[in-house]
Amino acid sequence: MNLFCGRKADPVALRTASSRAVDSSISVEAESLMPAAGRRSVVDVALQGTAPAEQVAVSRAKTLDRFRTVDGTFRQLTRAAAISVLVILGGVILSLIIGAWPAIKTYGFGFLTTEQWDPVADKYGALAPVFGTIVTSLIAMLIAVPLGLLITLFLTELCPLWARRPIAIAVELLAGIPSIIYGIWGLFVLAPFLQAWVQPYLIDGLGWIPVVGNLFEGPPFGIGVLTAGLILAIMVLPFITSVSRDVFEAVPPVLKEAAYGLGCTTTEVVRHVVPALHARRRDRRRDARARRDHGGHLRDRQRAQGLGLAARARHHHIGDHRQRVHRSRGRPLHRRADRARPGPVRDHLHRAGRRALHADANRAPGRMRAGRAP
Amino acid sequence: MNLYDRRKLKNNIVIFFALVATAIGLGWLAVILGTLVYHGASGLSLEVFTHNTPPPATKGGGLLNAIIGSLFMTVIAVLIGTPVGILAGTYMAEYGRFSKITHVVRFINDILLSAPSIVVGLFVYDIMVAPLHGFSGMAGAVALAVLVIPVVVRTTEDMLALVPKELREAASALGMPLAYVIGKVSYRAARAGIVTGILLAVARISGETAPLLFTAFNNQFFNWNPFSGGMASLPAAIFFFALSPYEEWKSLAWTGALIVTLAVLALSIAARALASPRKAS
Repeated sequence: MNLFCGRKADPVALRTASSRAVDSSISVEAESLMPAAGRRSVVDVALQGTAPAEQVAVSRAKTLDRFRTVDGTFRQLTRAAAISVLVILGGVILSLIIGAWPAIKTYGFGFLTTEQWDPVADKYGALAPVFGTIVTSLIAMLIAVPLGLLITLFLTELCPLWARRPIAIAVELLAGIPSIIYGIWGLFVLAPFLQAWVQPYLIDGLGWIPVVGNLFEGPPFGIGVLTAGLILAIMVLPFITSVSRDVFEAVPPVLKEAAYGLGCTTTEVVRHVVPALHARRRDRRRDARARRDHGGHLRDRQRAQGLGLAARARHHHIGDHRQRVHRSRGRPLHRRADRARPGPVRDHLHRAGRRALHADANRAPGRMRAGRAP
Repeated sequence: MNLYDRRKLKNNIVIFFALVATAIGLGWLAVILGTLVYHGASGLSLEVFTHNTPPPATKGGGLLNAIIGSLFMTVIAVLIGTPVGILAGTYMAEYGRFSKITHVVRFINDILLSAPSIVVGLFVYDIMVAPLHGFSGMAGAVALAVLVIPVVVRTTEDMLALVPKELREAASALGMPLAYVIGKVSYRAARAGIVTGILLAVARISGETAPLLFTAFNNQFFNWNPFSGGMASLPAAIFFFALSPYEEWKSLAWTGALIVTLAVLALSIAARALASPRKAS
């Protein structure tokens, strides 16, 4: 290492040299002319006021060059990944279409509506599995939708705050259980149970009904569309709960409180205020888009800043109606843009309120509250 | 009965049913977990983790080959799927936020996110098993990787989109090129969310059976060669053992079910725990 013979006692250069892993093959001259790009060299430049401008320029060019290479490479890499995702996932869809094409060409739509499955005669019809899929899904939905909605009602309106999260997580854990576990559980636990305790009574009780009875005929096997439907119902329950919870929680508390204030019961609030919010849902979708395009959680930030609904709408440059309301503030009441008129939310609130008023008239004196305490 | 009483009654009935529904939902989870522990815990011993699956109608034996097979395929699937998914998600959220590719990828990704896993199994059967004339552990891993990708792409894109743009602007103002902004700012801010996405993906694939039946199939023996011959996996072993007529196999199926469920539930709870403090960002 003959690094220090050229210049003496320059503490900065000393530090620079010792801080780098120096290749001894590089000559002193080259080293002093062109300090390798890096954090240290910036410090050097700041301290060595006498450093030649050319030296700075070279180091800057090197850094920029590296930046450009890294950025370009990374950009192309991510782009390639995105395209490969497209290719893979598109391939799945394409292979489905190609694989299904012979059957579609030969049998056409009749494939779905004929029952015969006869490999010898080369006749195939998928009605039986199609029917099974539809019936089991239907049963599952008939059970899971009311169940999911009721659970959501409990979670959003009735449940004490501290228990909400644990219960919601427990219900969502149902989604985490692998499907094979549901299979083995349905086969060994649910099917024997239904066979022994439920199906005999169903067959006795419902078998005589003309059309529906066909579903409840024959010996109880345990396994069948009812068992499958029940299992599928448990499997979709968490999805229904979580989606409807999102919908319920999208209702601004002010609206619910207004309905409660008018004397609505919990049931009436959920029944009339929550479904009235198609408009609100549209807002959410717009929010999601805005979030994606602007970055950051617009709604959360605005909520944190204490902006109200109208302010939020204005902030998004989206709520024409809100802006009209804002502009019409000075006018007389009946000419304001937010005067009472049939609209989804106001209409429902209105009706709920009228009903509460009627109820009020019928109310026995002394009893003040319907449903929940304010 | 006047109107007021009727409304109150109706309200009480609905509330009652809501309580019952919640009890059913929670009870069902409890019953499933309870039966798993009841049937599975008795068979849980060291032998399960040290011995291969036994021949029919013999005592003893374990699930070692199935456990190793599951671990192998899951790890390979994550190794293939995660980098592709994260990079693609990065492109969609950072470089090409408004490009056409992003919209197309997002659309197809959303379709595949909810596609039945058996379809993915068929796809890999078409491209790997049929041309190579045989099941293999690698085909199973690829099928699982195809399942991992949509989940990771989606969570990565969403989490990067949540990073406030002011952070990126600040970094850019300091002169960082975009690649450094992404690596040093965006990824760090979104790290918890991205890890959560990966954990959820692992939880999802480690219980998958349908795609494996077409690709890795099953194996009664240990198979070290991932490129030829079937490879055992826990879900497939459970599937075949549960349907078999032998008591010993059935009890092993319960034990395997308990192991899979505990692992998957632990993963999803971990993912949730990681995801919750994310709100700070």
